[in-house]
Amino acid sequence: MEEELIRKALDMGADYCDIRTARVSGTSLELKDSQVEKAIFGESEGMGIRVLYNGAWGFYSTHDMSEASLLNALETAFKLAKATSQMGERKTGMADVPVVTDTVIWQPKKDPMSTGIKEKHELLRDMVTRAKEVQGIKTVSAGYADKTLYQRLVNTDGSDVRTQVTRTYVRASLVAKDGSNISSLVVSAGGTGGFEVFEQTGQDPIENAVEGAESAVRLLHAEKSPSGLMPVISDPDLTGVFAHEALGHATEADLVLAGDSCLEGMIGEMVGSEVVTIIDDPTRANVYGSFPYDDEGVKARKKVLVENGVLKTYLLSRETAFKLGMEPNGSARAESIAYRPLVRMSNTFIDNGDHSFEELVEDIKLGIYAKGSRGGQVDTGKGTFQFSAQEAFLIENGEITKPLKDVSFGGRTLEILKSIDAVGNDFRFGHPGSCGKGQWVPVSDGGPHIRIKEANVGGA
Amino acid sequence: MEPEDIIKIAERMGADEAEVFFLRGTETEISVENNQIDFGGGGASTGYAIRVLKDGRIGFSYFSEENTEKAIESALKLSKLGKNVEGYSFLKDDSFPVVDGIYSDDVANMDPEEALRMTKEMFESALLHEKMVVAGGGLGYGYTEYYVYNSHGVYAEGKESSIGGGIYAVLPDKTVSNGTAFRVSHMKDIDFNEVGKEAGQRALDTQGAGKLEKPGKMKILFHPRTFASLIEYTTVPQLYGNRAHRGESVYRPEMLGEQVAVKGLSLYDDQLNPMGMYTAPSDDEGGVSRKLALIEDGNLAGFMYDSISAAEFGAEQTGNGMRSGARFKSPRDSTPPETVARNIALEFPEAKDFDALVSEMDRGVIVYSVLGAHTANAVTGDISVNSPTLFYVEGGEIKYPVASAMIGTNSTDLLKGIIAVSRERRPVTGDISGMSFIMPHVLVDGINVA
Repeated sequence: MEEELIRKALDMGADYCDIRTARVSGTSLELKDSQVEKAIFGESEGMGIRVLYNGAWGFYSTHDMSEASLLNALETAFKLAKATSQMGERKTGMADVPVVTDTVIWQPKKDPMSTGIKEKHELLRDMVTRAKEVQGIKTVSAGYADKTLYQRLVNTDGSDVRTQVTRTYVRASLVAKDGSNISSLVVSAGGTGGFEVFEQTGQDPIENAVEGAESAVRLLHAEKSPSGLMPVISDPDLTGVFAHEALGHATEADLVLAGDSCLEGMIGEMVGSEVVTIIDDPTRANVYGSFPYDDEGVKARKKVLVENGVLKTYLLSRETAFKLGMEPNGSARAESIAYRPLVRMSNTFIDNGDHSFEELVEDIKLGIYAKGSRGGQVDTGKGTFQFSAQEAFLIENGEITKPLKDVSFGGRTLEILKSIDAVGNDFRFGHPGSCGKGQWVPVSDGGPHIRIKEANVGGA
Repeated sequence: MEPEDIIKIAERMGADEAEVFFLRGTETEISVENNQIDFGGGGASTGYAIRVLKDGRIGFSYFSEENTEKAIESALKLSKLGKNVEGYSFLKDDSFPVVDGIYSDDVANMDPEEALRMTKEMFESALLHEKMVVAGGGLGYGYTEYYVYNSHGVYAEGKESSIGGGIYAVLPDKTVSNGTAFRVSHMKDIDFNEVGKEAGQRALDTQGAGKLEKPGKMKILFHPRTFASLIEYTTVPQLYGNRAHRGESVYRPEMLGEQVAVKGLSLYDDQLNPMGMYTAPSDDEGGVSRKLALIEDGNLAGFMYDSISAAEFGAEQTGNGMRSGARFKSPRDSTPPETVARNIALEFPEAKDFDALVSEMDRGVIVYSVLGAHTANAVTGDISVNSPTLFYVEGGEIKYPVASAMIGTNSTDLLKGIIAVSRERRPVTGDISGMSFIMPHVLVDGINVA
């Protein structure tokens, strides 16, 4: 059917058309204490058709795979492209990429479809049980989800790319309570692959849950954070969030083109201190944000975004590459066939440096050691960001002392990047997650411990 | 396939009870990038979900019509692990109210060419300065219809249309400033030119924003969207019955009737108000819609329950059994119903015009947007956010725009500190989760701004 639709699109006069057909299946389980709250199995399929006509886009998707419905989707996409093309002067296009015919199946070793629901249930039960053994923990909920996406992309250039990727993910939410004091924390683990992914990537979900529980309990008696400008050490989780939120989003070429990035026109310039190298790499084996081809059929590759402080490139789709006169680098991703691809990150991290953790801390008279993240947000245009640490400690005279609660940071991305004066040698990926930009896609981030000479710290 | 047939198959395959949920809709969206309409897209979706009850346990599966039997089989299999709630049965009350004012053919079947024209006018209205860039935004419209049917013969159905549009304007002049505006409605009654103008004006007004010269405790006048996003991650989930019963909330069931907010303040889940975006005769599991009091005249008045948490904690289902992934674009990512607020409406007797609210501020800030509302601590209600769009007010007059400020507070302090609200209330969609708000501007005293 795809071939026929492509022929029809060309007959209609489309300059370009691509068709994504997807089949998705997945299970998810959710435990609250020892009780299963949710047990879900589901399957769906659908098609998304994108048409470029006279320099403008039209798109339509459907879950109804009947011939009539698919033809209607193509016609509607074409109609929208045609109408849109009459609305503006500026024409868009697609940068050339090699025509590809390929099939990449990332076959999980322990296929979620054949791994019994019992095994998944047991893992969650063990996470809950072990975390609840930590004194002070009031409730624990744990969730498991796997999703297998088979997708075929065909386009009018002649590419035909079939991929299959399985992702497996677990999460624990921990609530500790002491009198009227309550604290909460979320930890997660996962990657591309089946049930074996935890072992392969050295993540132990049970250990994770226990450590999270211990942090939640520590937070109960944490003190309020001092506020103002001071040195901050961020742990690999928080370093990753910083790389993703503050720098990564601003390298998304669609935001650059929209006039909404503080990095516009800055390729080749120093945007951070010399010790900072930031990478986005979807080719890392088993990491949550990895994929073999992007959603425009461009092979995934490693991108060095910032090298020794110098901005090297943006994240580019075929369209943004066309507009900027650059080469596409496989960064177009869509949440599902119901969405058009946007420029997105994959696994984004600050590269390893050469300092030990002790070296980072020893010179600090008064500062903050911030661990993990409750999330963050960024204003890419102004180049400001805000993120909150899951857990934090005071650093006094080179030593980590008392726990602090609800610590958050805000600041200017470029100032903070230049303020990073030492990078640790203890790289790891942080917790896997989802990045929202009107669409959700799986991503990962990470880095080593880093030291920020001066950041604006605020507490609740 | 007819709903009765699906239920019959499920019962024949061994379910003691079953419930089917069906959703269908279309959506079209036009988007703007860098002062030009750059994309027209849309989609049609349909999806089914089934819940089965077997030996007191619940299983769930979502599916497309051709896979009905496989889905029921999976749901039955999963039910063996599923939650066991004593005495649980799918809902039996079918006294569904009639809801008007939430569907219009003019919106559901709008010609894309008309939408393109409206979008163009909207973003051009934002271009109030030669250097103004409409970096993003657009307009979306469509309709959704659903039904829920279960073994008790309860049948609920609803249909709603929605249209919304927003503009994100950036002004790279002396400094880089920006402004956003967004409106949403069920009916074709939004002046999109006003939306464009509001975004452009905000970007103009925040040019040359500087530092907050005198930080400290002060009054804050929150824009409806901003106040909504602060309580979306704190107060609202704290009022979910299951969280309250499990000790994951600052509110406990035994606190009903106690004062938890300033006198006069009321918070409802107004499920029948056509201003709300989740208005329908029922929720997504056939729970009867109502105007549910959560806080009334400052006192804790009620909690929100879906059918399972209601059965578990001996409470009444309150019309809050929602499938959070089910509306809008990804019906196939269906989840079983769980407690989700629908249309959180804030009411306060001291309602004034916007200008009167500003004139009441001896010292404070007007906050139009915040970053990081989702990082609030849902259990304790501690909030620490950064605002990139605010104005400093002194002696009842707006003095200057501020580039960035940190706001630290707690959701209970927010509700206790409210001194006035605006007369105008706006429908506001939730940030991430599928809830909406009917929200005025809210003036709160005594908040730390740094």
